[in-house]
Amino acid sequence: MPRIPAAAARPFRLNRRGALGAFAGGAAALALGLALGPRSAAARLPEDVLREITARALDREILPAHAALSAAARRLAAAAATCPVEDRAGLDAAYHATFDAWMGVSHLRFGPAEAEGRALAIAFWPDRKGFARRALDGLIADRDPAVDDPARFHEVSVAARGLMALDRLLFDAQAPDAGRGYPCRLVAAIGRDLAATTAALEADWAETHAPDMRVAGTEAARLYLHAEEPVRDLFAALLTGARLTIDDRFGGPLGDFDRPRPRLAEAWRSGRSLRNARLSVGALRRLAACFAPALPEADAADLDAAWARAQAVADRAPGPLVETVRDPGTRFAVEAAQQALIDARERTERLLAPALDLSVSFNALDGD
Amino acid sequence: MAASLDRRRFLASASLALAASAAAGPGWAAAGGPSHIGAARLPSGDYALIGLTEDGEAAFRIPLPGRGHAAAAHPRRPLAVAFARRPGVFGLVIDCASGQVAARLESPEGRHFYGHGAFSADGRWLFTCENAFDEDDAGRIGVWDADSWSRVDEMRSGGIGPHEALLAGPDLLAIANGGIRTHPDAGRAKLNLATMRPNLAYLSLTSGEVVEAAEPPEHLASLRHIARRPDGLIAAAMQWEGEASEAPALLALHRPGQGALRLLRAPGAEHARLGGYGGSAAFSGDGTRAVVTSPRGGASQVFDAESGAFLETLAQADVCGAAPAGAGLLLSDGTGGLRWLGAAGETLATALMRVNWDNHLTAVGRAARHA
Repeated sequence: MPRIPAAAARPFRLNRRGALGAFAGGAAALALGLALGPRSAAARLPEDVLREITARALDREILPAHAALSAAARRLAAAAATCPVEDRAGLDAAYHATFDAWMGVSHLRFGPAEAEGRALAIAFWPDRKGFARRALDGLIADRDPAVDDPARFHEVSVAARGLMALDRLLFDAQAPDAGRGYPCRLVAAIGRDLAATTAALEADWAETHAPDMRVAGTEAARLYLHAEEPVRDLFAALLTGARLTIDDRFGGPLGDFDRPRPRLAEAWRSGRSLRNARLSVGALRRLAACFAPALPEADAADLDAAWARAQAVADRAPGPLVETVRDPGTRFAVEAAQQALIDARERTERLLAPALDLSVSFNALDGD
Repeated sequence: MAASLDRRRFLASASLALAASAAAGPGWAAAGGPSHIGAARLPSGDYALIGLTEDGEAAFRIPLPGRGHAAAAHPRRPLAVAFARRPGVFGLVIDCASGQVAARLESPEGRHFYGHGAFSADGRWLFTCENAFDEDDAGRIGVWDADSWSRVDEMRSGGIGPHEALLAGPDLLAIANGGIRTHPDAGRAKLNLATMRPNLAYLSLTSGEVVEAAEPPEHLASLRHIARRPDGLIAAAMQWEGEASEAPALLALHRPGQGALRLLRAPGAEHARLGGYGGSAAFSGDGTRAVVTSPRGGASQVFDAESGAFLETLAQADVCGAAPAGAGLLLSDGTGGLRWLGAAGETLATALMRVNWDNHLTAVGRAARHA
């Protein structure tokens, strides 16, 4: 490869912040890097269109969804605060409400969610090797006093914190009674920690990251120099989030026909697996809709139809997922939901990637 | 284990090794005289180790079985050790003259490689950065005999997550302990950000003990890539684990025995162009400049290595690899771009290869001795 004189140098393009968190498993981020493929030669979208996409995502989805999450986690912390637990049904309901709210933002793993490892501290999943169990067993066996000190508990392994830890402590038939004694104090500590983590997440979004996204490409730009950069982060979050639900929420428990793996389902102890998948599809659909200004009207309708179908097929699948995947007579319904989401993801990529002029982020996505 | 015996063997032979190694076998000229080596993904989706000449020609292209991260170059023989991407458990010793795999290194039970390694100055030993993932205290530096490729010893790295190591003196190893606990059972998930304590540690190869460690002032600054100037000055790149817009300095200079890290950052908003992420650090060949690259920011920033003054930002999408080249620098990126800078920071030349350069570039042979 000969040198090219400086005058003929290709213009180096900016491509800031692929910014995908390396989450448990890590494969999804790499897969996205490959999936984006070669850069297209499409014309750039006007800056006002890019800003409109960013504004819709922030105002319709990201900011209200994070406010809802931190409010739900505050109520969870309050319900878990006393030992012994006064209202177990109320605590369980607060857990479910918080997990519901988390599904509204769990695909937004860049920026504030990546900072300080917050996304993992809220929900350590996928966890195919039982990391959470080991971490929780260790705390319980040691009667670790970190549970009585929020600052110290904030420093225990992320695998022992967050919603997946509560899934085990509150709903595992083998778990010790979480209503009293040490397990109760542990649940209280997790509740407090979740409230603090989600409050910090909401504050970072509202006070720094959302403003940074809005001023992208203006004189005031700090983090995002060009108006297209926040849109790329949102697009990457959409595709990576879809892949996580395809591969892990559906694909994990589906396993193979001869060997379904129901124990790989997300939050199966609390019976949330299918609900989480459905909520994820819904949240992804709403984020996808924010990209409509990038597309001609017919394409935008086409895109939404694909997501509406993914939502409808997921809503039709019978639960609970751990049983549905084992029954040859119902398993197909989960496979159909997975396939409909694959279709929606592919249509999203086919319609939006050229419009957004995406390029490969080989190293930015690797993050090492 | 027989570590004490092994260490004695390792140390006793260190002083004798120089003459023996220098005489043995062909040099890097036999591999086409590359100035740099780097791992890359090819258009086919396969991976390769590529040798680059000073003229930007491919001196060799040797298939790798998977994605690499960085390669360690033997100081004399045309041998490169390519490590699998974290959390890889093997490293391949590649004879770059023949293209053959000369040896395969496997990390022992309970260890995996981080992706970087370094040879001793005489080429007699290879040091590998390893995660001791079931132990709490620190990572490990594996010691391998560079003739028999047997593992002879291991030493504590002085921190969690020893990501990169290099020779800081004849019997001193500099180690970038990134501070982040990971476990292969949890993929690349970061398990301890709340308590992480990265440092730049110096390990005495005569005692096997860490003799000094300098910590970044902010514990979320994962210090994990380092470079050395011939006079012993170390440059370190850091990856900020907090919110990117609040990132502190991402490049530091340090000299063993000098105390605190000296932090370098661009003024005001210019600093934000690194996106909170320092991917590689390097000194220019003449030693006057230090650079930090950022694939997330799509930019590199150049500083005066003496005054610490910020000099310039160079935009380059997905840039990560950086190494001394001539009096200046060579930068590589994930879109295939190469950019040679002169002593004054001017762009001498660019090239675009149809590959995705992986994270790091390594200077070899004569180019390495400049460094």
